[in-house]
Amino acid sequence: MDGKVILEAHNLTKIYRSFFSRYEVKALDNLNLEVSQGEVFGLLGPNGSGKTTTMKIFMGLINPTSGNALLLGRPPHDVSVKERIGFLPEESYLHKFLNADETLDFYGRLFRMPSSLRRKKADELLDLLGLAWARKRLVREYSKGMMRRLAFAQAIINDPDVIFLDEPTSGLDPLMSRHIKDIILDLKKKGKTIFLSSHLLADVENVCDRVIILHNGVTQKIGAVKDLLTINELSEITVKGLSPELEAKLKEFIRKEGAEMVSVQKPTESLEALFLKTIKDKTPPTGITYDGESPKRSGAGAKPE
Amino acid sequence: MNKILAIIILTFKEVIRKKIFLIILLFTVLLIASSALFPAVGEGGKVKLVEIWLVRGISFFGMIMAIFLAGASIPSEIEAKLVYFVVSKPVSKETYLIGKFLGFCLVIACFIAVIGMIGIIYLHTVDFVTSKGQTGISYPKSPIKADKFSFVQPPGQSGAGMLGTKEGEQPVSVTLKGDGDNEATWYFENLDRYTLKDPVEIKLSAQIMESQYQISSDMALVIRNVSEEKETTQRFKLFYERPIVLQFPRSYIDAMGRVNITAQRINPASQLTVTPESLVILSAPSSFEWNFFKASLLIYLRIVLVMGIVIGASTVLSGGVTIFLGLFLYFTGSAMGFLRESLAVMEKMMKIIAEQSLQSSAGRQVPYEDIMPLWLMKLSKAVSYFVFDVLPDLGKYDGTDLLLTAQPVTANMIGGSFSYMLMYVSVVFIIGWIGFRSRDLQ
Repeated sequence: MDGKVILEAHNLTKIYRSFFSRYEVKALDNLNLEVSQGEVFGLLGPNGSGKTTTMKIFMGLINPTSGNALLLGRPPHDVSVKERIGFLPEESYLHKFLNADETLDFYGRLFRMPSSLRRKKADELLDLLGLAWARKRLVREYSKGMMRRLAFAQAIINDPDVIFLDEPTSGLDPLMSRHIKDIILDLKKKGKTIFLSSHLLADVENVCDRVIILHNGVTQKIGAVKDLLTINELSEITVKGLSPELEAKLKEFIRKEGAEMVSVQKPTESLEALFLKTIKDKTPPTGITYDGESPKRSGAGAKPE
Repeated sequence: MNKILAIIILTFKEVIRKKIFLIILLFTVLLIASSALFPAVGEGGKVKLVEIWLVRGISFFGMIMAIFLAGASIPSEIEAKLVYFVVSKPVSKETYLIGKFLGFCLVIACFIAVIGMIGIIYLHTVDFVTSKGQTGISYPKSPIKADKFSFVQPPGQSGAGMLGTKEGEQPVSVTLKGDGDNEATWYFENLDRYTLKDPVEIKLSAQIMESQYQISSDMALVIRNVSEEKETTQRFKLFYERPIVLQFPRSYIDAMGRVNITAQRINPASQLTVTPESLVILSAPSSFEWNFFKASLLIYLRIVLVMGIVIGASTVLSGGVTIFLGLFLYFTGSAMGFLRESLAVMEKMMKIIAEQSLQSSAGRQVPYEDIMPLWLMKLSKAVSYFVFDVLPDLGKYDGTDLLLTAQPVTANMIGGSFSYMLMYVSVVFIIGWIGFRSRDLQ
């Protein structure tokens, strides 16, 4: 990567100790990584592999046992750094006694936004995430997916340069999950750096440039998604109207040239694409419609632009 | 500032919307209202009862609410991981802590203001309905100290003397005892006759001792008009540890504003211990509402003190432990006067033991030893003094007692109470802040 290094970890280790027993867990073991500007970086791994721990260290929520983490060249505790980052935690921890407007107003205040800007931002974000129709309802009454979207809204309220997303699509239906992924790609286009963790591999594959795979806190693999997934020895040819005779001829030709035809398969559609195609014209209550290519905002509760 | 304001608003909204605030508020109001239905004795007794319930209700429920709501707030936000959002924003832990503290200060202030306003209106209504002509409300009267003080004792005892009563001079206590014509006199000069109510009220707070089984003694006060040379004598019973308020006609104060008041014992076997400040003339009553407001401020500062300690501690302790600590501080803090007194008794006992063991040369025949060994007593004393010096004394600026005994709250008390609160809260905040900084919020 050629851009400026935004996020770095050097020999990051975190050991959780229980106060009374001598039982300890190594949640993170010598993690080294660097993320450059404009990259979407994925953190992959099964449950308990250290993804959230890594996030929390970068957020300054917990202190590493050893090693150090730098965010925009400064330690994560630094308050000035936080002006420029956004964070979506693993679960949507929101103040349940506030409504969506008040929630965004509260977070806007934390960034010293003037009240006119806070209102404008709230309108914009609630519109983007299809929550405008429920803006006056208390978060207590929200569904899990709605909370997730509101949590996403607060994460980007300050137009951050670096965005941390811990399981951004958890609890969302495929439609909304696609929508969120599109927002992520949109943010990437705007030059934002995104640090994302997920155990949903499809999510990561669709949006990430580079990934790291963790297991029990130990780095297993790190690199560009394309490089990691490409099987260099194999090539795929997609043909329309392949008859059994032509298949036999091809096989013969390839064998003659000294290569080998390993398999012939009908390509299948991904389940996600099928699902989205099926419900293409149906307007869900979330206020988002999907036209098959890119999601667009519906008019339900949203202000005309 | 905007950030702190955001957290103050959040804290306030949380308490209001969680309804617990409204429930406690309603409960307190009902309790105060119902106090008028309780049986009361004497003229204005009902009003007095409402007054007591009002002031004690504000003090007690305000404190309980502060301890429970503020004590559980930060731990529950950490537990529910709500603090994630705040800490991942450009908000330092200090801002969060101070915002929380100020937010709860606002909550408690609203509680006291609402109850206070409802209570004052209710109190006047009850006073209007029940008392005929004579009000039962404790209008505050400020004490006017004597300008001079003198005492006479028969020869052979500590003699006679004259003492100034100016501020700053050490109040010297004088004990009148034995046979003969011994007495103590307070000289008042330059009293403003017309600002005093007729009859003039005087308050005597003195120590008595007759015999082991008597708790009251017969006494007399002679009130003398100096220029007209007329005097009146009032006889009364003085009870152990209880001040008494007496009245005399205003005409005993002469044109120059002078009056002399002499205390005498009726029974030669009794003892009377007085100081130059034991006897005061009470001024005309001033505004109850103003005094109520000032006393509420003292009550408020006292609650804020405990709440500040609780919030500071809650950054490193769990909610349950914090609430327990808060209740502990509240109860020991309120009983501090009593605790100190019992410690004084213990000290006296230790002195006796020390004297006795000195007399019985080889340390034989030491009573008390079988109750508790001396070293344990010494240790206990040292620990107790340490604890008493460290823990806040909530009786120090007690607004409730001042209000109920019709004493005016002074600006000095409010200032003192404020700095006392500030001292404790800042110390605990510094400690809490150090712990909070290095704490993992997992």
